[in-house]
Amino acid sequence: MSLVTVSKVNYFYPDGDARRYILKDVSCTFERGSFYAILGESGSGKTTFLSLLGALDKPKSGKVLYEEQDIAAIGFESFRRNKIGIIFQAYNLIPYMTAVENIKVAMSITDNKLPKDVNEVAYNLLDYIGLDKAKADRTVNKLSGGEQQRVAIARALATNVDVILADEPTGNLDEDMENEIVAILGKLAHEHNKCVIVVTHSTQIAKQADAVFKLRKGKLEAMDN
Amino acid sequence: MNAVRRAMASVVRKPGKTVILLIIIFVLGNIIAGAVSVRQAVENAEVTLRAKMSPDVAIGYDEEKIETLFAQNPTFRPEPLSVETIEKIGALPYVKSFDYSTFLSLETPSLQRYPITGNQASGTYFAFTGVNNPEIIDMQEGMIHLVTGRAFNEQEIRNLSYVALVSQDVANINNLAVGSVMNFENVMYDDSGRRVIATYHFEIIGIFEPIKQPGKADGSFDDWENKIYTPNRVLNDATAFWVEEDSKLHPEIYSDRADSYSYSDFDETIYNTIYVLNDPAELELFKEEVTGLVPEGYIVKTRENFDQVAVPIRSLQKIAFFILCIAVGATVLITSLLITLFLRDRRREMGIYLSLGERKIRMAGQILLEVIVVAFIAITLSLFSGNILSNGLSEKMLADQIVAGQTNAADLDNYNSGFLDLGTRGYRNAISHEDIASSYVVFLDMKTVLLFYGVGLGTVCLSVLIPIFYVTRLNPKKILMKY
Repeated sequence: MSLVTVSKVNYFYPDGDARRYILKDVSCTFERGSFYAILGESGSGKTTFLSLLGALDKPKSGKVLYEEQDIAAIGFESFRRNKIGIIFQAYNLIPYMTAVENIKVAMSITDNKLPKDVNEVAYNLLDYIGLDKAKADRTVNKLSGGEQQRVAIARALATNVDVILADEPTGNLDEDMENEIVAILGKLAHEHNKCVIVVTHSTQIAKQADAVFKLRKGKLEAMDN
Repeated sequence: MNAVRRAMASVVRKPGKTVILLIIIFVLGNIIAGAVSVRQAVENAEVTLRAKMSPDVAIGYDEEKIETLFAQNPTFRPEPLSVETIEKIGALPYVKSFDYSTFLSLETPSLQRYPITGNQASGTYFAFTGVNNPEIIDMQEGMIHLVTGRAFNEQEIRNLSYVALVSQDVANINNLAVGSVMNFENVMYDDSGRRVIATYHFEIIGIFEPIKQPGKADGSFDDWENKIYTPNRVLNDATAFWVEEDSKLHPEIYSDRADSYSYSDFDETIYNTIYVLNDPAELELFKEEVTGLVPEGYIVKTRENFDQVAVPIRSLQKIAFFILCIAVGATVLITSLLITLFLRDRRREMGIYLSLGERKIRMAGQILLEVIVVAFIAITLSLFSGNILSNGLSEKMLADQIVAGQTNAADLDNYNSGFLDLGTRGYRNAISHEDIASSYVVFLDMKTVLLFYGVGLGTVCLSVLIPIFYVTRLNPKKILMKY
């Protein structure tokens, strides 16, 4: 059983009487323990595709299934809360909170069962992705871009979900930092059995991925890696 | 980091916005606090003034109503208040004691009025006050006290007994004592001049002394010294006899009466009623019950018309209510806009909560809590400052309203309806403007505090509705996936 199944998904904008398709009859599956890269040029619909996987938007037709259950039936809000973690290019952390507090916000929202000592879990997670306690206690706007993206990754992991979605996670980072982040994402898939789906321009990330898809003219095509 | 902690973190870590919100709510809160304080002070003053009102009331003519009815039907006359109705009203639970009196002036050839003026000749008249309550209600209410002798007994009240109580002053100047007999004449004036139609011999059974009322000038219009109390029945009989004699002189006036009419059938007595209430504060309840019992054209009359007395404080209450409405409206508008503006700055934060799957109801709760925390502090501060401000301001306003009220009262005093005044006796002094001013005190009691917190926090909660609506409309995809 696939973890995430995309079945004949269409997404379009009305353009006068016609429709401008962003995604057309897109179907694919994503498994646990794999690292996926979705490539595509600007405007190819990568972000739209990710927003459909992340239940931030609804397909015009077709379905996104999680463990063969339609995410609409799970509930979009509930799906975001309990099944996925999203990493954004712009990190999207709450600026007046510390790194550890940002992690704890996500932990307080999810309904998933978590260890009792959320404080310890949050510090351990940050430590695991390379942020010590001193940095964990800093407000996030005092951290570098790379450090903020690590906090965002830790937040996505903190709710104990199976699917990690990342939208251009290295778009704002330098090459060294990009390699580090990609390494972490790979580790999440292979060592922690997560399904990691990354939307990116970066061929560097694509090289590290287990499977690569390319979005072209609204169609999703599997590529040889 | 649940919604409560997030709210507290937002309040504490964004001091600029918190202080702006605090100042806005504090300023508007002062106006609300002032208005609430004034309203409460007015309510308290009303209770105090009502308690100060004279407890005696009367059933009298409703001049305005009668004029309206008369305009519709020129033959309309209010039917006399029957003894049965008077006694039914007297049996109401709000009534401590009651009486009804008829009044008649009789002349005396031998007695002098008090004080002696030197030019009193025969034909001096005395005003008799009829009594049905043997204990004499004026005595019960402390307007007179018995110096010697006794009051009436039931038998004297029911039967035609020529007994009377006179004042100590009248007794002294006329050498009267308990047991003395006073002669009075029922007099008729016709073309031939003064004609005595009957002579009555009243036995003095008691001598009373008026009790000087603080604040009332000596020799007030009530003329207590020259009052003579006697049973109603005696005065009714004398009146009826006079009418009988008059009908012989002027038969054309009495043409509608049956041939067999005798003066003992006379039933047109107009009684002056007096009801002493257990508690003046129950006046409105008493009025309500009386309305259903009396014939058309009658109302309950009080020593002072409370609505008229309360004009200055009621005006203040209206102003306070107006200010309160404006302040609440302004608070809702300004605070709503301010919070919405602040939330526009926090769109990304709200988008993050939404992307994490936070429930919108919890986000609304977080915003509400953030505002309530700030508002609670601002309202607490403004409670004291608003109270102090309103105290000074409203006292000045009340003084102005009292001056305006005095002018209106003077205008009303000049109004004469032309009807016989069946008013009250005024067992207490009329409420003065000093009473009004002294009863109006702005202070913080529990009711005021609770009302203010209720109105203040309620207004703030109302102010959060628009911002909450704004949050529920946010789309996380549009917020977070645009760089």
